[in-house]
Amino acid sequence: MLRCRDIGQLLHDYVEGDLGPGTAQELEAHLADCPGCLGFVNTYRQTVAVAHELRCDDIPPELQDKLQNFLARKRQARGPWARLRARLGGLWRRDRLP
Amino acid sequence: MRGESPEAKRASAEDPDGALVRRLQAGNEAAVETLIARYQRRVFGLALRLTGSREDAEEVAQDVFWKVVDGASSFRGEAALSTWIYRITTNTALMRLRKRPKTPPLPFDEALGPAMTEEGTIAEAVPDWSRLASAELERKELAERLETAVQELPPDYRAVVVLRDVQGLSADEAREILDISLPSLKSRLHRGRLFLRKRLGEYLLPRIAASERRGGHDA
Repeated sequence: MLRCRDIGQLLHDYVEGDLGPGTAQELEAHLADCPGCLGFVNTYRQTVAVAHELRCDDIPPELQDKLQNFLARKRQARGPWARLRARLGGLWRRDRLP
Repeated sequence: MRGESPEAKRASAEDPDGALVRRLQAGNEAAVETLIARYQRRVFGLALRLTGSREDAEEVAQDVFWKVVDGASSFRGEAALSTWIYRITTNTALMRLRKRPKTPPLPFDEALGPAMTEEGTIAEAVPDWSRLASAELERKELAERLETAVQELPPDYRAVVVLRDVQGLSADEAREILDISLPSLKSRLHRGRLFLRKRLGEYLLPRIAASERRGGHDA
């Protein structure tokens, strides 16, 4: 018989779907009888759902140009020998890539 | 690409990131453009959620892409390119956070969840604001409140929550990026979520109570 304290300890694995079916059933049986734990689980799930909505979709429109200009300046400043060394390093390690 | 053999084209289609790395290692200028186009959203988004500042996120993105381009020759392909880039982004953003005043540590799990009796049962009413959160409040407003709360998390917790719950990476990917064990990852994620849940509740409950009082007067 699970207690409320056990629910708190199992909550992460339950929400992630990592609990075994037996334990998950026991947990759900507890939730059916315990409005406090049900509220706890529902609000925990809702927190995760709101966090998903924070994913950033509005990048600055000029970011690509800024980054390209920045990298071009850095590569220019690095000088020809360093550029050559970087290229040779790439050739040397090419066989170890996926 | 011009002059590419059919084999190279097939390899590029089957493993676009592998082909991109090889082009970067060969010093191909166009590959830099492809790299930025493919990863700028992920890099900027992660940096923004970790630093909480668009200005810092842009600077982090610059540092990250430079480290990737400059270090491409030493990339051995032991991890996916995306994992490597996420790791560089996380570390670069966390380095930046170290220069800021420290955030207070999180309390223990049980202090973040509902109060318990000695027998291990819930000792207080736990209002279920989950449905009200979608129905009565602008979702955007709620997300803004959560964003503020994410910035209150200590950096180690913030990184886990952002990678898993905001960026939607798997536990294995996040563990590999942060170079921590799975139990550590789970523990930080759980406590981070408990903290955010607490903050959302603190924000929502007074508003819901006020809305109910207004509803009562109107009736």
